[in-house]
Amino acid sequence: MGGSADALAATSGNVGGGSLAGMLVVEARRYRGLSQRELARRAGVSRTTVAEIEAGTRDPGLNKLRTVLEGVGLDLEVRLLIRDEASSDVLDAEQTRREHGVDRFVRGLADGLAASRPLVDSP
Amino acid sequence: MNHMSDELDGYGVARIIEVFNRCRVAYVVTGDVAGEAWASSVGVDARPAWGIELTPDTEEANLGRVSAALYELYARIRANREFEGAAFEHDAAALVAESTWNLVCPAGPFDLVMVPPDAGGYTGLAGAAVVVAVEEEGGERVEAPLADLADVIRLKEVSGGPDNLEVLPALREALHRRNAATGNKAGRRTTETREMTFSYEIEVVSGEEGEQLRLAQAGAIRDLLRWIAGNRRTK
Repeated sequence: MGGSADALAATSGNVGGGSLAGMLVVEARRYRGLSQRELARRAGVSRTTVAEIEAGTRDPGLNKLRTVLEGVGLDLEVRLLIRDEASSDVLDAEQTRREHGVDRFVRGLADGLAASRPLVDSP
Repeated sequence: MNHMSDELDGYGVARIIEVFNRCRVAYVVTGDVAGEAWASSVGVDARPAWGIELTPDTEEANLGRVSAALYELYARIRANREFEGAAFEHDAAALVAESTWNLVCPAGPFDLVMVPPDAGGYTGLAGAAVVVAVEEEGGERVEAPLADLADVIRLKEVSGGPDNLEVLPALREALHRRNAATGNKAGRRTTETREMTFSYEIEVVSGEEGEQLRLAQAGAIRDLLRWIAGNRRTK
């Protein structure tokens, strides 16, 4: 598991504004229905720590993250998987999206929404 | 790829829209493309769409026009992400017999999803849909009828399944932002406040079979509670 800590740290950088650790803590908190303050109390850390982990501004490392999750009765399991067909599907989807201009079309829709008109005229 | 129709290559999914429009098909764009477009318009990242989903009016004459559009597009049946596809014969009667058609054509993958009248149907979707003009590369312009975001969310809720449930939090956030920005103008729908009722019938069976049933029911209830916990808005 020592190597796994490095692997997690390497992948816990910002992902779409959050972080892997942050998303896990948010998910754990939602699952338990807790506020940041209550989760912090149960995990024995400060509310600021929880807030910073969730915001992605603090990388807790594997041990701290596990402590936080264990505080609310959840285990963190890290596994290495052989690359398989499932991960290839993700790449295929991205490739398909680009090749067939789905990304371009979605962008066009989003840009055009401001000037859209109702499909059905109001009576 | 179907080489009978190389002339369609490279146009992208906008080509599908163009053919449906030219064949005078009544339809709206639903699914991940609609969800991602609405979300992107208010700065929310939703799951990237990789194919387009169209919900046609299931009236017989319209499905006849859908069939004509499918032949023009060289549409084939798609199995998973195998894009070679299988040729199929179709007409209005054949199309209405299935609730979903997973298809592929040289312009890209797409799904036809028939929404039954008791789930709002095409007419219900069209009432809140908007027409969006999309400029394609090279100056081409297509107009796409886009289902309202609240309807996109509702259809995903009804369909269920992990893929649909996964994207719901982002779409609900987008709806929240859109309604906050517009004051929910233009009669757009909202799913922000509504009651949800779930009911289970518990069957009491004794013996080993009863124990298995009890475990299955407990599992179903647990999954439902997890889904609710994962999809409610966090303070």
